[in-house]
Amino acid sequence: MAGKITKVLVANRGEIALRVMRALRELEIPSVAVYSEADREAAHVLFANEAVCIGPAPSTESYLRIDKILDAVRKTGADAVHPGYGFLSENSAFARALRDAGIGFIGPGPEAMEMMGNKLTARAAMIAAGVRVIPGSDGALGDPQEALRLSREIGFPVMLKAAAGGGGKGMRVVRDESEMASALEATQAEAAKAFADSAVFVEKYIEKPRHIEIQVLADRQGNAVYLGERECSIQRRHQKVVEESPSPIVDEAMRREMGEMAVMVAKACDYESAGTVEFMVDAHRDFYFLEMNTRLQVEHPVTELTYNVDLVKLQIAVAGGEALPFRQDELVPHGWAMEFRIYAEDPATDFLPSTGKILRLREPGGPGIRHDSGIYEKYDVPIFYDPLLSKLVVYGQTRVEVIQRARRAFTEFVIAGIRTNIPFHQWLLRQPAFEKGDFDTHFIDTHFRPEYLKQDEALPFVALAAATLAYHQHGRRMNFAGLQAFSRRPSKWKLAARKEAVTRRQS
Amino acid sequence: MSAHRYVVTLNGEKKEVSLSPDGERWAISVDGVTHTLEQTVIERDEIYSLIIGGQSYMVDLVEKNWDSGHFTVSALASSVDVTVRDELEAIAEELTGGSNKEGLFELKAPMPGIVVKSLVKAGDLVTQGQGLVILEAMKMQNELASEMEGIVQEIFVSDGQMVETGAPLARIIMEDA
Repeated sequence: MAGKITKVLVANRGEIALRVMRALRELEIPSVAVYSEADREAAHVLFANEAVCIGPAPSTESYLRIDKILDAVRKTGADAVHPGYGFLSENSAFARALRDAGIGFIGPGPEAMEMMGNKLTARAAMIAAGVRVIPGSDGALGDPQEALRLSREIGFPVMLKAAAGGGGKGMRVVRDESEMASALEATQAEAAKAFADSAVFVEKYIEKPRHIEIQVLADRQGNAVYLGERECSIQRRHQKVVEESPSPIVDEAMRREMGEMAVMVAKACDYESAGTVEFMVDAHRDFYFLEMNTRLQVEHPVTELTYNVDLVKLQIAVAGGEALPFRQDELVPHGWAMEFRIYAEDPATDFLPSTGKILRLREPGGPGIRHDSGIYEKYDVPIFYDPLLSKLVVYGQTRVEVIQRARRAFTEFVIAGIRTNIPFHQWLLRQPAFEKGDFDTHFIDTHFRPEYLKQDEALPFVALAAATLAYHQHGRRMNFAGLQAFSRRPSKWKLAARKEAVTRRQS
Repeated sequence: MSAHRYVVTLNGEKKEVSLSPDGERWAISVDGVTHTLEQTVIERDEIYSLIIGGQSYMVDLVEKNWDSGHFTVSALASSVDVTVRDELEAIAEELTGGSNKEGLFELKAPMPGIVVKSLVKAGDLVTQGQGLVILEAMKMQNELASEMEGIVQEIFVSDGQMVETGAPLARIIMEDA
């Protein structure tokens, strides 16, 4: 498509759909929400200018249906689509279908998605472009002999990974040679089952790994810049929980080195729009290319705060054919930002998901607070989708100030009716290792136990007093109402007379 | 005015509480220790501001059941379940005794979700901690386990069925019961 974007369909739900629609409203571009039957009351539907139902609750029958989304585009006359993250955001068939229909896609082209979508082809392309990758096999492993030979070359421990994998699924650490045969077989079987592709590769296992990623932006004119790093090492089951920018271990020189490599990656796949290049960083601060996420990330707000940019509006500008409004040397970060993902998961019961009605919502405010949310009070959280409710993003001049502000904000934050991981964040913010910035991707697994969660010691008495007062006062009102009802009750004589009158009229 | 007596259960502990009006305030005694409390109702039965011994607290009564006296109270960035009974009711309940549920475990859905599958069938022997049913909610599969050893008496749900919180899923009985 060419020319100005005049109406945008947001092919997503939850907090990210709202985030995109907020940018659209600032630009005074009408927004179209799509929703499943379970999402009629979802926040993004209430916020949007237009809304189209695209099918039943399961996402395979709604948010993942390219045909239904294309129908909604035609029906509403939208001239561009923003895919958010997840769902169809990295689906090249979707991007291609839109292109064929002459509809703009606010994101990269299908070619870049395809190149980066498969870990093996991405890796081969990156090696060819001169990007540093984790030492490992450059193709799918055949038999255990080949796996052993390669692993000896790389040096144990090694990691077996499904080529089509992601989100932590289809991975296995192999510590020595004796474990190889069974581990390879298990990983291949798991990969075949989960991704319908049994290809597995091997790479060096990084000890004390940190996950640090670089935000890039590229336009159609061939300009590409980096907007610093995001530290994403606080994870649970390979899902990020807290992210920050800058990273406690990245200095200016390392930022430039990583940033330039990320820009090289973006250029190697002829990238357009916002994208993220993920790196694994080892204990010696050596970094290796991991993969490129060809979409807007959940954690994009920490970059927006430290670089004072609006990534969604920049994506829209680039998709409309505009050139980036800044050069690399104009991009200087200020201050510190941290994002806390608010999940509907109970940290006291091994992060069991919790759904239901949000009976009370009181959002924190004051200096340095941004809350990107997809919920509201009285909203019933459906069971079909991701448990991410919102993101509390905190900004300050220094990391210390951010931690102080975050602790303060969590004392204001009330989400009641469902369980959330807020108590986990409160615990994390009091951990000396976290305060010092001394952690890796194993931090939660090695440090967190549900029994460490503490409530304020005044809570039992305060709750007891409030409940007793409520019960007492309610009881008094009921007694009073009961007495009044009794005195107003008609006598049995009157009732009998009325009943007789009614029977007579009917006969 | 005389004090009103209640028995309050919180975090598994029973406390004797007496409440009496004290001018504009309340005197509240818990196990014999008295505090003075000022209550301002922001929304009846919903939101209070309490000032206890000079300390200010905002309190939300998130869930309440006036018949059973069960409350979920949110304050100080956290929440806790509280049960309040009239002293006389509490004594009466103690005398009649709660229903005897020993020798029986009923697995209930801890959240709304979809039953992915039952891992056992009626008549199976199960051990404590053995998974009975897989329940999916928010793209996560959760294996729900038996809290006791015994025999599966009944599975109440079928695969693919949607259930609400508290829905009975399975019942385990003691082997010789």
